[in-house]
Amino acid sequence: MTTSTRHPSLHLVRHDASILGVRISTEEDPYLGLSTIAVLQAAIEVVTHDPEIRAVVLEGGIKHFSAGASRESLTVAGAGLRITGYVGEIPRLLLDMPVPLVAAMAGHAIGGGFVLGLWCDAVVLAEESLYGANFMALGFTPGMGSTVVMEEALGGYLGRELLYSGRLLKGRELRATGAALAHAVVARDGVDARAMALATEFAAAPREALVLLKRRLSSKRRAQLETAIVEEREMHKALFSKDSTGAAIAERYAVALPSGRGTS
Amino acid sequence: MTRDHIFTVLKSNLEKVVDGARGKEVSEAQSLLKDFGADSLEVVEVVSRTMKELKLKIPRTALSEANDIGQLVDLFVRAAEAA
Repeated sequence: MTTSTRHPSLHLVRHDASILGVRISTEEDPYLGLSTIAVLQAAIEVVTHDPEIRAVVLEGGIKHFSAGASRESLTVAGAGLRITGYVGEIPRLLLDMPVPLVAAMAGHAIGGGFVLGLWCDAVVLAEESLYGANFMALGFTPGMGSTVVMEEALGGYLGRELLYSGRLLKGRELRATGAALAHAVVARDGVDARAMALATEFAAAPREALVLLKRRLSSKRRAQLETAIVEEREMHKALFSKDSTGAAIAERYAVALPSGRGTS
Repeated sequence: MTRDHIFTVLKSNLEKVVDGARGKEVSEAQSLLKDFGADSLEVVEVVSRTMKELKLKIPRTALSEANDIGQLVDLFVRAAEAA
């Protein structure tokens, strides 16, 4: 779980009259947690009440766009089931955002952190960074709707290959696969500019039309997400009720990241 | 499995994963973190790919003991001897 003490509104930056930036994680705290939900809720509140905003750019830290769930949040007794439960709310909030969301994924995005980006309307990835849904490599089943969004983003066969293996790929390796998001990979130092260009292009349309289209595109994804979240939760209940799951994660998840915590 | 082979596989994965190592000379005395600017996730990814390719396992907790590439190769040599 993240322990960010910053007020959620401090993660919001107005890039211009029509574009809101939302910092989903920081270098000090690259993990998903309750604070991620608070930041997204604050962003939705601002966008809902400000008719000038017509696009949102989701941003992360320099090295990590998002490192997913922390090691401790998955291995402390009883915690695994708790975090896999509430992080399901994150994709819901992304689909609830009234205007289009562009994920500027310059840094590494792994586990739930990768899936978080994929639930946005558009993504920009860096050639140099690592991406993947590494849940199975850590010893537990994928969550946050990854059992549907990975296939959407990468195609069925590559999506399933990466889900089963938990393998990470560099942005440039993802591009070489020709996957559905291959077009979205650029050099790392061009990610922010590309994301802003996309947001600016989207924001040229009238807000009312953008809100209607976002609602239409999200309703389709929402239906898939809701089914996936329920079934993924059942898988997590089955696994996290066993002590061996926490032990398996602890053994596999030993990356030293900020605050000495690991990464998922 | 020779030490040279382990080094070659490790070097190849280093070049694929760590951008700071692309097109550079790689020697056993160098550090992944300091000389090539790798971050901790990238180090783990290099090791993970090397483990898969060599079909060897080294305990992830042992990674912190390896300060340079030579010491990392040592970990693989020990794993190969124990296998």
